[in-house]
Amino acid sequence: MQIACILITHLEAKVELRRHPQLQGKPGLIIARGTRRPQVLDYLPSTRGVTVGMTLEQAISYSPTSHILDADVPYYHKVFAQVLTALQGVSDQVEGAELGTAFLDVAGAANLYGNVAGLERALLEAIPPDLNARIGLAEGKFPAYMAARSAQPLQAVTMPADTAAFLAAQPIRLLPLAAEIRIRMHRFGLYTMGDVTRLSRRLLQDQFGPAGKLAWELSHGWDDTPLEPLAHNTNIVEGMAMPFHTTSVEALQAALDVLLKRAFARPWMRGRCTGQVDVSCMLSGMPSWEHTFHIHPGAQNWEQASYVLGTQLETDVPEAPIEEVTLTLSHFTMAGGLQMGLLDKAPDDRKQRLEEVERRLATRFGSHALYQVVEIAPWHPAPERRALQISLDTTGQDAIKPVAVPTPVAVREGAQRQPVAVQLKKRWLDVAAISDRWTFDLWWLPQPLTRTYYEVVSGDGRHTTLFRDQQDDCWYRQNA
Amino acid sequence: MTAVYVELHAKSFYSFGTGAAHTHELLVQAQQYGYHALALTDTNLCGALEFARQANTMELQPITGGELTLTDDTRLTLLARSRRGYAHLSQLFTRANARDRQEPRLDPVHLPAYAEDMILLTGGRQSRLSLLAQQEQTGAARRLLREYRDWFGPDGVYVELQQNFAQGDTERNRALYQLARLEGVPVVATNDVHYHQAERFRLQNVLAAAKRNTTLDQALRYITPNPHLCLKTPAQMARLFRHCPEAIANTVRIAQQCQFNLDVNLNYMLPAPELAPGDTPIQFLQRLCYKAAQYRYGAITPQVESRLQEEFHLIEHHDLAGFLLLYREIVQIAQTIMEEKGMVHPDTPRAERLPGRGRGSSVALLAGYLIGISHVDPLKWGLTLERFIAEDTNQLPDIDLDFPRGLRDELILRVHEHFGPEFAVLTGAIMTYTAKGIIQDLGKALGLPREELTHLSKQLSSRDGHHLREEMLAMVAFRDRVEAPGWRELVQLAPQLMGAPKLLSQHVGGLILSSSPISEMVPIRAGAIPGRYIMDWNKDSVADANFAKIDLLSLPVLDQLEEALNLVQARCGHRPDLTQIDPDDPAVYDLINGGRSKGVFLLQSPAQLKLGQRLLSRNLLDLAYQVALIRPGVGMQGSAVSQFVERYRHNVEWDYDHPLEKRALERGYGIIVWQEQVVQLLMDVGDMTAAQADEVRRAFSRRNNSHLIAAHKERFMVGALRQGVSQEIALKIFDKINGHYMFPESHSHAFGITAYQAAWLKCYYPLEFFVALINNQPMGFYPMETLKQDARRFGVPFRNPCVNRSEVQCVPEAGGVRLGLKLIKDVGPAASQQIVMERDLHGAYTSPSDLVRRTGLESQALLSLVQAGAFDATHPNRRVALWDAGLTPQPGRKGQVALALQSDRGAPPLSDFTDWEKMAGEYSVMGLYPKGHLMDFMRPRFSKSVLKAPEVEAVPEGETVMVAGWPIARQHPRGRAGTVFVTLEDEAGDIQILLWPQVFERCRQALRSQVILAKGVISRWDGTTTIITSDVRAVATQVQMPGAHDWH
Repeated sequence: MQIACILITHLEAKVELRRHPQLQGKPGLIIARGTRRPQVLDYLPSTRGVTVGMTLEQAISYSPTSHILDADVPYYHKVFAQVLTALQGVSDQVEGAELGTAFLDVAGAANLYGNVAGLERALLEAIPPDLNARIGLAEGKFPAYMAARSAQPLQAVTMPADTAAFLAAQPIRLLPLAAEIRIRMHRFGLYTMGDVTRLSRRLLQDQFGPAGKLAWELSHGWDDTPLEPLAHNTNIVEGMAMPFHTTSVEALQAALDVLLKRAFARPWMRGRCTGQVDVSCMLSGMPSWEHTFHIHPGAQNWEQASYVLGTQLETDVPEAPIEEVTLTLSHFTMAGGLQMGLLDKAPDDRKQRLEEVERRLATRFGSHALYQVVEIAPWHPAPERRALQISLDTTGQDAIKPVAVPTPVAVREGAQRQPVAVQLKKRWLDVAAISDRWTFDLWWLPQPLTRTYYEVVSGDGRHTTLFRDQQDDCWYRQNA
Repeated sequence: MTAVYVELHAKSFYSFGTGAAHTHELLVQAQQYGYHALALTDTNLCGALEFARQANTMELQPITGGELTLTDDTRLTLLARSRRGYAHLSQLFTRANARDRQEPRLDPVHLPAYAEDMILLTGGRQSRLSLLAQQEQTGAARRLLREYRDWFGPDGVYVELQQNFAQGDTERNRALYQLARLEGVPVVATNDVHYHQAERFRLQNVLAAAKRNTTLDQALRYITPNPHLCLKTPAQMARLFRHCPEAIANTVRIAQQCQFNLDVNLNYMLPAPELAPGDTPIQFLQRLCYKAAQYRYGAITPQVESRLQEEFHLIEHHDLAGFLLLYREIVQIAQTIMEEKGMVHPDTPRAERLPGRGRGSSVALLAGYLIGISHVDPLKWGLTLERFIAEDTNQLPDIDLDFPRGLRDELILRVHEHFGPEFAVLTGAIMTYTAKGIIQDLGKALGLPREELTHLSKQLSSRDGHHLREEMLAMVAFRDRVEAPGWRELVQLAPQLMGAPKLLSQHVGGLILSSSPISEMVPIRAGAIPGRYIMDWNKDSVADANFAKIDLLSLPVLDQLEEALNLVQARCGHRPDLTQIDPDDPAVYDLINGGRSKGVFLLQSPAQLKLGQRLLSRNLLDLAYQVALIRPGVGMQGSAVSQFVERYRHNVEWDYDHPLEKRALERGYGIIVWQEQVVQLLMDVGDMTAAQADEVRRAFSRRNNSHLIAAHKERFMVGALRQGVSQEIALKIFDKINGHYMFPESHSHAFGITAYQAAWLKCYYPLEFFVALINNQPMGFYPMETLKQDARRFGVPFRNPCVNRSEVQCVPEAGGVRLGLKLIKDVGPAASQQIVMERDLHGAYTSPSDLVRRTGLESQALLSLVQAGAFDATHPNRRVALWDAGLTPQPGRKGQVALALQSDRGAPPLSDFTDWEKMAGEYSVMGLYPKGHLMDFMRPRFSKSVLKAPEVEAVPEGETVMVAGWPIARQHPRGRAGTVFVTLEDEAGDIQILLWPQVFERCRQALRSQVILAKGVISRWDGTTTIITSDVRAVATQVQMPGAHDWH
C-alpha cells in the first residue's frame, strides 16, 4: 500500500493570515475561549516563545505585542474540507485525519502522473500554495506522516528503506498513544522511538498491553492501518433566522419543527430515515451552540424527529439569545429497513385536510392563510414575544413569525410626553382619558426593549393600546 | 399640605436574591424623603434587629415585619404590633423554615394560632387574594378576606394595593378595592419596595435571575423589569393613590399600631444549670472548686483559699455561678465524647482529661481551672483576677471554648440534644458578596460564558468588587471585554453588590443557650449539617440582643499537643503536665527569640519570627503582647508594631495626643494592642458609658458600617468637646480606631500560654512535636517541606515512607520521623490502613506486585508509593519496581478478582531514576523531599554571587545581594497597601525579601514561579535581616512544588 500524507502545519494561523493579510509579519495568537482558561490554539509565524496549549496569560508574557484573534474553528474545518475535496481529484481514496493532516492511497498513481515527481506535483498543485503543505510518501500512514513531518514546506520526502533508523531519534510524543502511556514510557526512560525499538515487543506488550505493541511496531515504521476514505454522504441542511433573538426553548422547538418539516418534505427523503440531526444555533455574544441528536432506529417523518429533539432539549439548551438556527440531517437509511411497530398510529387525516385547505387558500389569496399559534413566553412583557404563528406551509421565508407585532403610529404628545391624540386610519382622534399606564425596560437584551404603554380612550369611547419606544423614541400601536 | 406616608412593605438585601438595598440605605432614603417610620418586611428576620437599631440611631420608627411565602407559593405580609406579635412572627417563620430550610413555605393552617397582635397586609401581585381577584373568583376572594378577618381581628387586616406600573396593576387594584369595599376591610397602599433608589433595579433584576441560577432572559417571568419598586416620596405615593387617599392615610394608622421596637429587652435568660434539690449555683460551684483544689494542690493553701474567696465574691456579685456551671456542663459532655471516641490516653486521670480549653477571660479564673473550663493555672502563671471581669461591668465575661478538631462537631450535636433544639441554637452567619461571588452570580445571570467567569475569578488579586474594572483592564484575557455587552453590565453592577448579604450560613461554633424557646425571639431552622439548628441572626445581632454566645471552637493545636504528649508518654514512660511546666524557661524563650518557632502555634508566621527576635520575650506578659501585636487591627495602625518594640524594649518615650488617652493606652505603650483599650479610649476621651463604647467598637467591625461610624463619631466628638478635648485632637484620636480584628487581652494571655506550651514541646521533645505537627496538617503557615527543613535543623530527620515500616500516620523511628503512608498522594487513609493491616496479618511485602495481589491497591496509588520511595527497601531501583508494579493486573472496580496473567519475563535492564528524577517524583507525590531540598539541585546553576540564606547574614547592611530559592509564603500586610513580604527558602535556611508596590506589580508573575532569583539591598533592624528587592526573575525547574500561600 503506497500512502501519501499531506501535512499542513499551523493551518489555523495560515487561514487567519489569509483572512487578515495585514497581520503578515506581525505576532499574533489564535485563542480558543471555550475552555476553562483561554488557551493558544495556534500562533502566527512572527510570534516568539509561544507554544500551542499555553494559557493566554503565559503567551502574552512571552509575546506582549501579539494581536489576539478568537479561534474560528468551524471556518478552519471548512477550509480543510475544501482541501480534502481538492485532493479527491488526485486520488479517490482520501482520508481526513485531524485538522491539517490527510492521507491518500496513491498506489499506482505515480504511473498515472508519469512518475513520483509528477504525483508529488499533482498533490501540491491541488492545495492552495499559501497553506505550505508538506508531503510524505511511505508504505503506511504513520511512516508517511513522519516523512511529511521531515519535509520542507511545498516539498515531499519519501521514507527510506530503513525506516527504523529514520525514526530512531524521533520522540515518542509523535506516536499515536494515549498521554498516560507516553507518561509511563517516559518513567521507564523511553523517550525516543529508538529507545522503544531497543526493548522486545513482548516485554512492551506485557507492560503496556496493545499500546506497547503498537508503539514498537510504529517505531519500526510498520503501520498497516487501513485508509478510511471520506464517505460521499448526502446531508440535508435547512436554516432560518429567528424572527427575534430569543432564549425561549419553545421558540427554538417551533423553529426546529419548521426546519424538520421542510427537510422531510424534500422528495429525496421519501422512503428514507435519518439517524442523526445536528442543530447549530448562532447566538448573540456567545460562541455558537451545537448539539448532535442521535435517533435510533431512525426517524422517517418530522414528528418522530421532533419528539427526539424535544425531549433532549429539556436538558441542554442555549443560554444566550438565538439569532439563527441551522439543522442538518444525516446518517440516512432506507425506511424499509425499519421494523413496523404493531401500534403505529394511522396517518393524521385532519392535518392532511388542513394542509390541502391551506394550499387552496394560498393559491387563491396569494399568501399564507392558516397558521398555528404557539405560545412561547406568555409572561413576556412585550406581547409580540409571547407567541409565534407558524404557517401550515413551511416552505416560505415567513413560515414563522411573531404575533401581535406593533405598528408605527402617529401620536401628538402633551405634558410629560403623554399622548393627547392618535392618528388611526388617517384620522386624528383626541385622547379623552388614559385608563392605564405601564412600563418595562429589558435592558439586557442585545437590542434593549424599553417601552411605556398607555391604554387610551378616545372621544368615541374606543380603547387603544399605544407605547412609546424609548430606544427609537417612536410611537407604536400595540396590536392585540 | 405635606403628604404623610409610611412604607410598610420593603425588602433589603437580607431577602437574599430578592431585595437590592442595604437596610441603612433604605433608612437613609426614607429619612431624606421625610418618613417618620419604615417597615422592613424581608423574607426572613436576618436583618430585623440591625434595621431596628439603625432606625433608632436615626430617630425613625422601625416596624418589624416579614413577607411569608405560603405552601401554594402565594405571599402575604405580616407586621408585629407588640412583643407578643413579634414572637408570633418569629414562630411563623420557624414553622415555614421547618418545612424547607432553603425555600421556606408556611402552611396557612398555622396562621390562626399566631395571628394575635399582628397586622396582615394581604400581599402584592403574588398574593392569594390578588390571584383570586384577577381570576374574578369574587366569592372565593371574599371568603378568604373573611377568614383573614376572623384570624387577625377586624382591625388587623388590610387589603394591600400596589401601583408599580407593571401591566395589570391598575386592573388588579380596581378589583381589590371593590372587594375591600364589599367586605368592609380597609385598604392600604404599599410600593413593594425592593431597593431604595430606582438606579438599583438592574441589580435587583440580576439578583432575581441569579437566585434561580439562570439567565435574565430565562428568569423574565419572575422579574419586574422596571425601576418602580423603589422607595417613593410621600408626595409620589399620594399622587399614585389620589383616587384612594384612605390607602395612604392607613399607612400612618398602621404605623401607630405597630409600636413594637425590636431593639428592646427580649427577656432572654440563660438556662439554669443542673443542681441538686436545695442547692444554689454558688454553693455547688464552691463545693466543686474546693474538691478539685484538694486534688490539684494536695491541700487548700492560704494562697488558694484567698484567691477562691476573692473570685467567689466577684462571681456572686455578677451572678455568674450558673453561667460558669453551664460551661462546665458543656465540658463534661465533651469529656464523655472524648472517652467514647478513645481520644484520651487511658492512663490519664479523669480530672486531667480536659477535652478543651478556655480562650477568654476564664484563664484568669482559678475556679475556671478547677472546674475544667480552663487549662491554665492562674496562680502558676501569675494571672491577676482583673483580667476576668471588671467590678463595674454588667456584661457577661467573654469565654470561648476550644476543642480538638475531631470532637467539636459531635459536641455541637450533643449540646443540641442535651438542652433541646429549641433552647440551644447555633448563631447564624451572613455571608456577604465578594468579587468572586459577584462575578459568578451576576455573570451567570447576564449570560456570560461560565468558563471565562471562573477564569476571571481565579485571576483576581483583590476581593473587592469596586476594582473589578481596573483588574479586568490589567488582564490581557479580559481587557477587551470591559466594554463588551454583558461584561460591561457586570463591571457596572459589581460595586453595588460588594459587601451585600448573600446567604445565611452558620457561625463556626457560636451557640446560644436559653431558658425559653429561642424561636420566640428569633426564627430558627435546621442547619445544612444534619442535627444542627441555626438562627436568623448573626453574631452582631446576637450581641445586640444581649444573648450569651458560647463559642465552641476548633483548635487544631490541641490535637497536636495531645498527640505529642501521648508520643512522649509512649517513648519516655511519663506524660508532661503542661499546666505545671516552668512558665519562665529561658530555653523556651531562646527558641522563640531566635526565630526558631516555625510550626509553633501563633508564633510561626514570618512576621512573628521577626517580632520574636526584636521583642525578646522573657515572660507570659511579653508573650501576650507578642501574639497580640501581629493582628490585623494592630497592623492597620501603620508602624505601631515597631513603635511598640521601641518603647517596650528600648524604653523610647512617647507622647499622648491628650492626657485623657493615658489610662487606655498606657498598657499598650501608647499603642492600641487590645480590644479593651478601644473601649477605654472611647469612654475616657469621648465621655461614653462602657456599653456605648463597646457598641462603637462593635460598629467598627461590621460591614457596611459607614453610616453607623458617622453617627458614633458625631457622638464621640460631642463627648470629647465636653471633656475639653479640641476638635482636631478628638478627630486624631478617633482615627486611631479601626475595625480590624485584634485580641481581647484575656485571649492573648490564653493563647500566649498555649503558644508557650507548644514551644516548650518543640524545645524539649522536638521529635514528638514534629510527628504530631505533620500528622495534624493542615494547621499552619508553611508547606510540609518547610517544616521538614526546620525539623532537620532540630536534629529530627525525615525518612521516606516504607511499605514495610510505615504506619498510616507518621511515627517516631530511631530519632527521626518515618513518614506515614497516608501522606502519599492517591493512597489516602483507607488504602494506607489496608496496607498496614495486611502487613500486620501476613508479613512484609516483597514487591509492588505482591502488594497489589494482597491489597488490590489501585495502580495510581501504587505508582505514587514507588515514587515516594516506599519500595526502596525491596527494590532499590525504582524503575524496576515500577515495571514490576505495571505487570500486575488490577482487580475490577467492584472487587472483581483479576485474571492472574503473570508475565515470567521479568524486567528489562532499566537504569534507575536519577537523583533529580527521584526528587521531582517525591515532591509530586508527597510535597516534600526527605533527603534534601530542591535548591541542593538548583545551586550549581547559579553563580557564586547568588548567596545562601545564612550567608546573607554576614553581608553588611546596604550591600546589594542576590538570593535564590523557593517562595514559601507571600504576605500582604493590611496596613501597607501593596507592599509584599516573601519568604524565600533554600537548602540552608530562609530569608525574607520585601517588595515595594511598584516592584511587586512588575514581578507579580515571576513570584508565582517555583524558584526565583531576587536581587536587592540588605536592610537590618533589631538584628533581623530583610532584602529590599529591586528585581525578581523566574527560574524554570519543571518540579512540582507545593504552592505558596498568599496571606492577606
